Amino acid sequence: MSENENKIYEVFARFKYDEPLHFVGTVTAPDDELAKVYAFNTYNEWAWIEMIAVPRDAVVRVVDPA
Amino acid sequence: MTDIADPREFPDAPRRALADFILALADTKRILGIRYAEWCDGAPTLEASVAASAMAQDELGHSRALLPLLKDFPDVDPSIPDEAPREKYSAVAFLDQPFSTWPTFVAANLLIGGALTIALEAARESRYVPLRTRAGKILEEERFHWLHGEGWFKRLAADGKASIELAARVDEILPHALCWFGRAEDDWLARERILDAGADELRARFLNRAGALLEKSPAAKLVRLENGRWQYDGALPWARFDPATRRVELGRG
Repeated sequence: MSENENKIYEVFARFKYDEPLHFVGTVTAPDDELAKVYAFNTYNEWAWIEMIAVPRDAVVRVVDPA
Repeated sequence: MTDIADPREFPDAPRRALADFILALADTKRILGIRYAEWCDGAPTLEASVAASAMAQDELGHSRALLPLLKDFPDVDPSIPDEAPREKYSAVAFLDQPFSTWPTFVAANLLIGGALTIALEAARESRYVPLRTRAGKILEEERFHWLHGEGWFKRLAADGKASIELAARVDEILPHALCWFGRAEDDWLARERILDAGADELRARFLNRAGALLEKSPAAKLVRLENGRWQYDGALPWARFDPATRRVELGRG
């Protein structure tokens, strides 16, 4: 169970219906199921109506910082 | 059967059984929360430590939500719902000692936490209204506890050395979890529709949830699938079981 087996997930959430999802932070987890648990527990300071976690590997980069 | 909000409306025997059930649930959640909290800075990753902390808060909160129900029970010492210190708690005896390893945490998360969740699911439609309302809220939070236990169980089961430790802890904890549902002859809660099923059915529901997971680990020898239902492949230690506290005292036999 080394840190190397883990993936980084980008976490997005919103707490109002009339606002878009916004970036709240990252979690490191070995799989999607534990990523759900960790994201929920780490960013539970608001009563979110929606939260998603995206593996950083799955992100399609459009413009990279110089 | 009609809904009941005041437990004094139940006959004596089911009312006492209900008080014992609430106390066993609240005390086990309290001690489970304390054991989780002891791993807040010792879990294998930062995120797992945060999860241990969050689950500890949840369990302590659930215990605090359940204990005040006992104020309405005339047979219960009023100092208990007031959280006065006690010599004895009706908590699962395996929790008497701290978790010595992370696989112990994971096995208790899955099996002890999982057993309490099955009991609360059976209270979703309870005719005892105060339990029904609390069960719904508690179960929302418990969803993530199961996911945590399941996720870590799969990982440890695939890790040679950790899997041996995990199987040993499952071997120890599983009889405590299975006995916690009680014996069929004491099924007052199902007869009064406080829970939607009796002890044997709740045990079967628990095994059906955990069985497939256990089968894919070195603890597989403890369970077997028979006619589509998972069975425990051992003798439960009823001689050491106390139906009031739901504890299986530690020891032989």
